[in-house]
Amino acid sequence: MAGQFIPIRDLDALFSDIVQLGCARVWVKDSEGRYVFVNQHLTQELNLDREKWIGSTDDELFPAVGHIYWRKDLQVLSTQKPLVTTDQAENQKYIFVLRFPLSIEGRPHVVGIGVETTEQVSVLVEIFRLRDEAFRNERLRAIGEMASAFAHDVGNSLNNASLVLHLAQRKAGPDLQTDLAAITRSIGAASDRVHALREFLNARNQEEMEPIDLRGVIRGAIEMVGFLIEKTPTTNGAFLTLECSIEDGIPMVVGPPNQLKHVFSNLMLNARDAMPDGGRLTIEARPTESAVEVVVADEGTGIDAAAIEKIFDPFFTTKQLGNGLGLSMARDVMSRLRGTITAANRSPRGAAFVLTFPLLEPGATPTGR
Amino acid sequence: MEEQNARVLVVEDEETARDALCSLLELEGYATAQVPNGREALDYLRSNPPPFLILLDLLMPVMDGWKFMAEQSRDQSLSAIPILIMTAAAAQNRIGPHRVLHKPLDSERLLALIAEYRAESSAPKA
Repeated sequence: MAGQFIPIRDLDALFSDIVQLGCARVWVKDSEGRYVFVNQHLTQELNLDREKWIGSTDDELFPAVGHIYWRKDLQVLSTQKPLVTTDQAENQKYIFVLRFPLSIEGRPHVVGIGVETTEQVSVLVEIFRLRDEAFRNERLRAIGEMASAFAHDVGNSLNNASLVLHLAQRKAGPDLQTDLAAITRSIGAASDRVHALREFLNARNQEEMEPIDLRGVIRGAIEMVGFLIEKTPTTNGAFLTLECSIEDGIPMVVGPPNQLKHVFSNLMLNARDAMPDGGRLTIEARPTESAVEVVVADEGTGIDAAAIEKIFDPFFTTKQLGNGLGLSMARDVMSRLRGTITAANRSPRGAAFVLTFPLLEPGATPTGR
Repeated sequence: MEEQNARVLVVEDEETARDALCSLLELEGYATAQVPNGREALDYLRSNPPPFLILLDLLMPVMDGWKFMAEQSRDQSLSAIPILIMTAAAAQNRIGPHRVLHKPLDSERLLALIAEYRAESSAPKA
């Protein structure tokens, strides 16, 4: 049963407490940019006595960035409209700030209310950086793939020509040998170019491959996006739980560790997007007879039957803000290490991505195509 | 009776390259057999005397060179036959115990290597 409703009598005290003791930074400046009020939270955060604030401008208090704050204040004063921004403050902190005009004792002022959002903004900045990186990687990958296909096809054609020419040299009489030798030199020069291109492509790929501990890679991915998975509400305001289970004795595999970290973080973010009403995201890693298998599973909406065949294609996306490169990059990374990635819907709901990492035979490195 | 052990098995899906390779080897005095993929190579090896060398392409339809090597290494009756890999794809100079020659092949180098394998196969075993 609801208890008796008791109205608040001293509203002034209430507002004073909210302003002084709340966890937001609150300040008021006059039309010259001089502070006329700062709350306790702000003075404590910046470790500056109230006396130093009052009557001072941002230029005087924060010479490096004061002019940026003043420009925003001027906008509010001139337009007489509120302004919402994300400001960079001391020690790389991000502050979500609402500024609005307020007439106090007949004179124009600007009120500022700021809430620290460093953790949230840092995650977003990191995600945008990852997306940029994925886009750049995908373009480079596409160029590399075209170059590899070119080297392969031209190499094969030159190989046929070279072998047949060698046979012709064996069969031809002395009158043709000079001409055949000239053709041989031309084919040799073209072959050298193909070998050089292939060595370049090979070196580019090889430097990224190294023995890796999947446990560390998966943990790295969780550190990267765990905040978004477990601590940030979904679009429908729900929360997710993340469970990671990696069996002991998982053998080392070979792969590009940073790209794999991005593969796992992308899969986790996809799973998050698929569970707007909340649910459980699980990551399981276990050894099989000839591989290590990692399963990333969610309890979300699943994958549309029409989309499931295309989800690994570059630029295919079902998301409004997706770039369609995450799963394409995942497929590329997995195929380079001679592994696989597959997707399937789960019963009764959700989807699972299964990544298979082959156990490497001694002496072999999986960089061939 | 033909000396079966002087035979080279050429596993290559490109018909022109396969024919030219076999002709070249036959001019050098080797017997040859040719197949277009790994699956047919396994079938050949399981029903014929072993060649002294397998010349193996990597990218082939039906069964590629990687799968062929995995199958061959698991079959004790075939695992001792040396393989010389020929590939136009980016690859290292050795895959497992096998040497790799990159296409376009240098015919002289190829013939020199085959002669080495032939000599090793003919050498009396300790």
